[in-house]
Amino acid sequence: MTMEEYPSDTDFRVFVEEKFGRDRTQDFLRSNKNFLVHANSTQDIANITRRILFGYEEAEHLKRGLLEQEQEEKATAFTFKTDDSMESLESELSRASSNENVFNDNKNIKVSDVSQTEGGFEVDIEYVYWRQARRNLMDSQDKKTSISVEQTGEEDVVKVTQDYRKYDELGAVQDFFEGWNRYRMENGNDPLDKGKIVLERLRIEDRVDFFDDILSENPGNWRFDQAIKLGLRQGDAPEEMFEETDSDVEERLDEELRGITDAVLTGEGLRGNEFVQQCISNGYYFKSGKLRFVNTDVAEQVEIAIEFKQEPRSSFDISIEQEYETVDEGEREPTTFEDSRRKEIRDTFRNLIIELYGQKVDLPDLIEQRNTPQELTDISGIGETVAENLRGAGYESVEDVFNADKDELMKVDRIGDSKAESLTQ
Amino acid sequence: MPERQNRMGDIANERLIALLEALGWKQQGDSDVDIPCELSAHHERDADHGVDGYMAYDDPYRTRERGVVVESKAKSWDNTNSTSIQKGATQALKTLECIPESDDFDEYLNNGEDRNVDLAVLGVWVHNGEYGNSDFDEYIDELTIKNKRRKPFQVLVLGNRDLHRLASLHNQFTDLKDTEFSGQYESLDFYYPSLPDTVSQRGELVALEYMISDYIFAKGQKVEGEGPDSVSKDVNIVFYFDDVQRESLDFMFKALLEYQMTDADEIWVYLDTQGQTEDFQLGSLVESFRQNVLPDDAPEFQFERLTQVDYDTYVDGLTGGSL
Repeated sequence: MTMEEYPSDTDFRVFVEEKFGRDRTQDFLRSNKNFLVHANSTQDIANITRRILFGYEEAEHLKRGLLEQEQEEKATAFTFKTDDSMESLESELSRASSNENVFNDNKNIKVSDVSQTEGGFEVDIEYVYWRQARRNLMDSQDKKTSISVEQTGEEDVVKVTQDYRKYDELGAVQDFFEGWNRYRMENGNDPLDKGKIVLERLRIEDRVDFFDDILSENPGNWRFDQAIKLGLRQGDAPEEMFEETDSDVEERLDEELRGITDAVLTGEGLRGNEFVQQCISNGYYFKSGKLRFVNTDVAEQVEIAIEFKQEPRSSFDISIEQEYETVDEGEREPTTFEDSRRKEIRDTFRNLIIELYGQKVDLPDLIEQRNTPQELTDISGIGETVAENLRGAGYESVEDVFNADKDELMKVDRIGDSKAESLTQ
Repeated sequence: MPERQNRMGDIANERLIALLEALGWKQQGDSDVDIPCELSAHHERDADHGVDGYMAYDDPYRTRERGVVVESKAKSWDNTNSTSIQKGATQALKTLECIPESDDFDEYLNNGEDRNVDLAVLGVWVHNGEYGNSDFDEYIDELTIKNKRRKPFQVLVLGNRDLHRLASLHNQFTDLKDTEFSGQYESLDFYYPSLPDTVSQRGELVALEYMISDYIFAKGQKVEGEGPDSVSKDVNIVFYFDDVQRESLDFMFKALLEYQMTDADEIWVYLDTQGQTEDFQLGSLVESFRQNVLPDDAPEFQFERLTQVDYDTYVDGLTGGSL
């Protein structure tokens, strides 16, 4: 639909800062204006963009790009702790739904339906989406989204999962959750203790291992095949400093993707790659990845984008960027899966991340309480697959692993030089 | 051959600087100045950065002047590809990175002035062979610039099509100024509308942002008649570089409303019809625009085709044919 009015410079600024982002705008200016921009922030590039007068084709191109971006379905999740049972949570929300309780005044958030599922219940949420408008100050639109609430493996931890296309759906759920806690307190119940799934909550040394686990676990017969793109973030207090700047490190990372992939595939793990080691020493950890997985059961391959957000965002996004059919000799041809299959794949990886994250955040507590890991999977960098391999090789307990000979340990599938080194130290 | 290539390189550089000067940019210092590399991150401290040209203009969007590194390449089409353009872009970027460290730059080119030096213009003039617009665009798509400083940097690549376009813009503007707006009380300037953080400005400058805009605005004042019966008219002008289609003209009109450019007695639109197909009918398009888009109280619109000129011959003409 053609724009009713020419976007103001503020429209362009907000569009770039809030919606389109730095990298996409840089690509757009390069492709359409032969203008190469290296911007440090979205503000930089928003300032450049808002001063250019774009004609019809390019303004429409920007708008279409945003729509495509928003059409891509993403999966996300967060957890909360509570002593209440799933049944009591479900009936609480059912009551709120019958009473038409408003969980957020501005967005008029209400629960329209609560229905039981296999592992918990699903909540349909309705809300009003306000957006900037040219003719009125704001335009409103009635919208809906839904979440699944399920028990995790841990008794008092509940996971909330959501599939969404537009960020306002994500925001509505965050606001609903805050409203739910207010509602509980008004009714004399303890608030639900929200658990964020953000890398920065992990110890810095666990962050890379966490990513390593994601690549090594093979969830649902999906075997990691290749890292197509990895994104880095730098934490606090690096032990030493690269001479290079962030952009050099990113550039080198692109060059090292093959080596990093090989390190994972040979079982050495991410730490087995020299450049990754350097990154870790400099306080860098992986915040995102575009990763190809091959299904070992059916002739399917997927490119999955995983991105961990920074606080105050509390979660991560998983989206399927490309689907393939595996043809002869491991070759692949682009295809499109059914929506239900895409959802199933996103669920598989989302569950994996929640599970692995849960293992990592529990680790400090375990260590503090018992001073030593009790299960093989309590050891930093050991997921279920590697633990199974260890057990298969006769290493039944944590002590067995810690007392093992490094060279012997390296004979175990998916234990490379660096992992064996860290375990035997 | 290398000697001829060097000569072509010099000519391309002189032409590019002459065009930019015509568009209101001012050259600072000499052309072809070597600046010693002072930046350790380049790992090439013995090497110099050859600066083909350094220019500055009064930035309509910022308080400080803008300093621009100019890099020129003269190429045959056979030797034009993403690798060779990337080389030029990287060269320009490295110069930009090095400049803040360089006393020589400050002394010989920047003259100690306080400027934002964050832009390079890379002119790629293909003088031999058949230049392909879409191929050239594809080469640009493959370029990357990653700099070693935590500062935003920009590189604008101007190929043949852009150089022709900018030359045609200048030609049309000066032609209007010399003919339609040449009287004692008449004037014509490019016009930069106010933004929330800037006031509106007029002048003969074409800033970087206008070089890549689809609409370039100008404001003129014209006197009609003579003596006591003379009438002064406000004429707003749009140099138009978008596709020439109904939706696009409609969108331009919305842009004019947004920037209060309809507040004039007449609006003249100069359409760049270079990329249009042969069966393109400007007359019926304009008629449809008048009937369906323009409100009754709109000022009088005139549409003209932008006169096309050849960059090289035009710029040689500007410099008195000395190149």
